Amino acid sequence: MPRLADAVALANHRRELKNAARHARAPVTVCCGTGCRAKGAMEVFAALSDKVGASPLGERHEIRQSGCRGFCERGPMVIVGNEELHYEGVTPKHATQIVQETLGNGTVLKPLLYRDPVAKQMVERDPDIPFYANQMRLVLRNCGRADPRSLDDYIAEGSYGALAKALTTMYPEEIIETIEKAGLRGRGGAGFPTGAKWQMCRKAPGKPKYIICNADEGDPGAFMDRSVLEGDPHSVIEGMVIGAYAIGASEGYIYVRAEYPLAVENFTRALEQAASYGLLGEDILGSGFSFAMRVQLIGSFRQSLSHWLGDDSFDFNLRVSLGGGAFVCGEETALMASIEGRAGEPRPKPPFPAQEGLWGLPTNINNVETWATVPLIIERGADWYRGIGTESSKGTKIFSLVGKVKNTGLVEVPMGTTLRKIIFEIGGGTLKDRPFKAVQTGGPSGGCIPAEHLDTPVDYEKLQALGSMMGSGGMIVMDERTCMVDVARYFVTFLEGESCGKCLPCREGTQRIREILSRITQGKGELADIEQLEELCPVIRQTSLCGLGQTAPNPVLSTLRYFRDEYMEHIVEKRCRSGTCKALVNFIVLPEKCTGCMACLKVCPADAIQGALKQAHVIDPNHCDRCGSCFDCCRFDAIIVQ
Amino acid sequence: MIELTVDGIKVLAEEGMSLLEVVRGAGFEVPTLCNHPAVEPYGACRLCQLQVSRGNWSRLVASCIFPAQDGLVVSTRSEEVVRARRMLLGLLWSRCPSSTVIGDLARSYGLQRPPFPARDEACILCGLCVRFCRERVGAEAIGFQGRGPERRVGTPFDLPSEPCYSCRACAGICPIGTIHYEEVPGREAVRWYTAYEGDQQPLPRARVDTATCSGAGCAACLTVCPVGCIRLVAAPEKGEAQTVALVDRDACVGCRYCEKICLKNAMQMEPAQENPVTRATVKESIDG
Repeated sequence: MPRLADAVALANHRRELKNAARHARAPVTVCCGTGCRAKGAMEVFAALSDKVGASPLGERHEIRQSGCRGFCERGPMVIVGNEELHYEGVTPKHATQIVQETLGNGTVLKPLLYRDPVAKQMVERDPDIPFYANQMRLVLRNCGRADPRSLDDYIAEGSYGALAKALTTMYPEEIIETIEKAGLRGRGGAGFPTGAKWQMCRKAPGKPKYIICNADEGDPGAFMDRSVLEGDPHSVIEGMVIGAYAIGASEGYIYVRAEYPLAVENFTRALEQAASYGLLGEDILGSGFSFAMRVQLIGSFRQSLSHWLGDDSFDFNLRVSLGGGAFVCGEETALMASIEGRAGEPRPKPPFPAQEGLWGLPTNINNVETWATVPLIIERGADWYRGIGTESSKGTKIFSLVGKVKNTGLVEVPMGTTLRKIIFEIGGGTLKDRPFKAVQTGGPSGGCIPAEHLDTPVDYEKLQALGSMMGSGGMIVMDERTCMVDVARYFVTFLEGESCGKCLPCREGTQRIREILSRITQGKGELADIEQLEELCPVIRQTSLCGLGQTAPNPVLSTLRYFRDEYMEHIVEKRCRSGTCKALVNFIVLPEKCTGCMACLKVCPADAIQGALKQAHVIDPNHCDRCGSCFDCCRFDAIIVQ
Repeated sequence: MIELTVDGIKVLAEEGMSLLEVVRGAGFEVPTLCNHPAVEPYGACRLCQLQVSRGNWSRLVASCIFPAQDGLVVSTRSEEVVRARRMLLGLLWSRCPSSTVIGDLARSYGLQRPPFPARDEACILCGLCVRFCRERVGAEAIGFQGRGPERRVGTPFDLPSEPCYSCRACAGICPIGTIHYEEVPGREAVRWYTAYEGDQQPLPRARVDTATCSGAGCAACLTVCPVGCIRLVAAPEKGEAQTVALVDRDACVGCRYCEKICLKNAMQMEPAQENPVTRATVKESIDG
């Protein structure tokens, strides 16, 4: 493919691709995101390609790959034909069936369909599944549709249209005004207005200026950035080039976790392709604007990754930096220190990155999702974007819905959608329909929101008012089998280990909180411990150097606020109602309810359950490991936590 | 010039000064452990908390890294400031229960004993030694290792550090006097470790031999001293308008810069009488 000389050439190329698509073969799309790959999607893809290629059906059908579809719970997923039949849990063994029956005879394979847990019926078409139907997929629009290996796919879907519009019809100031007017706020967590950030960087003296894409996604359970990079790398590149033009930056970096090899691979390939089309590099689309990029690998992963990246320096100036595996490197000043080759430790602000950033020059850092939203706003206008969302928070937000929920996956909804809709309509409710207890939002330093606030519309301010935060959009659903003290202990332990250790309150404070919470979960807690927590937490919040420490007490404060009675139970009654804290738990069998089915006896890893068929079983507390497997498997509620 | 209000008193300051410099310069007491005029501010110990407000906006800031701004209203001992410092000192004291410097400071904020289970660490991780070695000595012989709870200061692989030329400024600048060293036979380097104060060897301090010093005629030591503890004083015994260098021995960290540059060998290193210096004395002597 030759370089696209200007915007007209891009439009012509897009038209040709669309014309060709009309005569194209019907697609059979296999989701090849990380989640589906882990469940064997590549084998399914190979089996389908093999079967179709060997038969005359190959003339009518094309087996394609796509990026993550977000419904990772159900993978591997195959979307068949123009009618978009949704097959899930597909294995290579199903390939023959799919090819012969669905492609050959047009019959729908019922066992592979999605069964809606709310309406209790099969759903045939992918867009009709409530998980998708209740979403508003804007940033994720191309994820799961286009093949991440083909730039033409994205151009046919409309990618780089916004870039052509920005470069040929808009002044840089006009772009910043549009972003400001649209009300876009940073999706990385803090929610700082993106337009204002760009403006600050544009006005800052110093050249060259840098832009950075923060893809150091470290929250446990969050994977929206990875999915966007894997499934729609071009929207991120397009957003960054538009941002660079608006800010006056000439070089860009992307800082990706080394744990995301597929995202790095897809993104790097996308960079090369965009550069070969002239959408990146010198004189982009004949506009005279240049934005150079270079792929640069740092750290010990260089060797293992070089096989698909080739030489470590390309002639375009967006650099891919692989993170060293530290949560704190998601903090912007620590991230820049890490790119520069120093230890990832935050430094005081001011000076802000917009004034003195990477290598001491003005730098603008935005999160993956923020960059991917930019082309949408430029293409469809600020007014359209303002129409979505709430008063203070505009547009859509991607949440990664995980934990004890039926439909685990990525959910993109307009700001202001209630937690109830996200968890119960899109997520399908809690696993086994156990009573819902809380949802933890905002990553490890977010907070737990109890059931009485389920009808809260989600936006930056509302979540903060509830003692939690938006964060990068993690949502962990918890049911009655989750102990809130233990949850707080888990997140604080995570933050303790990920604290860089530079400033005293974060380093020492998180250690002390963890010690206190551990004591409580071990049954050694005292009432004075709660007092001490309440004294310690506000000081950590007020005096820590960076966002990690300032938000580290959130898990404790929010659980103390909503689940104080559970803390009290642990301390006073020495009891853990959820059956999580091993020192405080005894599982016992209610003989009147036990049917003697022997199910618990079989799952018990410690052989602590005695009994015979049709006779009430007994758990020997001396051998019991308190793992709760028996409790989880009993279908007659005969095992209780004491 | 900008104007701030500190505890109700108007204070004038230069633009670009840190809040700590302004408030201390005006004679207010602010405790710090990680701050030293010879190195860049770092913001690790967080003890220099002050409450700043403007209109309805009010918050605690670490004053060593907070730029002084015109019109700012500062409170050095508000209830919130004292509460935060007491908790921070409690965390520090529980980490280093054997340190008398921290113990005294903590007691002055009303603590009777370490509030958390004692951990018996020797180092408070203020980073002064690491920063001084890097920024002033230029050796980078020591550095931080590990992350979070694992963080500590040490030499590479805990072996005598190659670039170390045993100036011992790290030990001299340590705010709680916890750095120890052993001579390594046949080498200039020292074996480096942290331990409790008390059994520490006396640290070297510079002293001027006034008979050989040529004073203002040379003044090389003044230009190289990283902590600025050398000044010129009149020496009437040597003649009219004659001067000699004088070392403020409380502020000296014993880095031997002056000894190395002196052409007359007038700088001699002598064991200090008392160890260790506290940050407050360093600051005062330099201001004075």
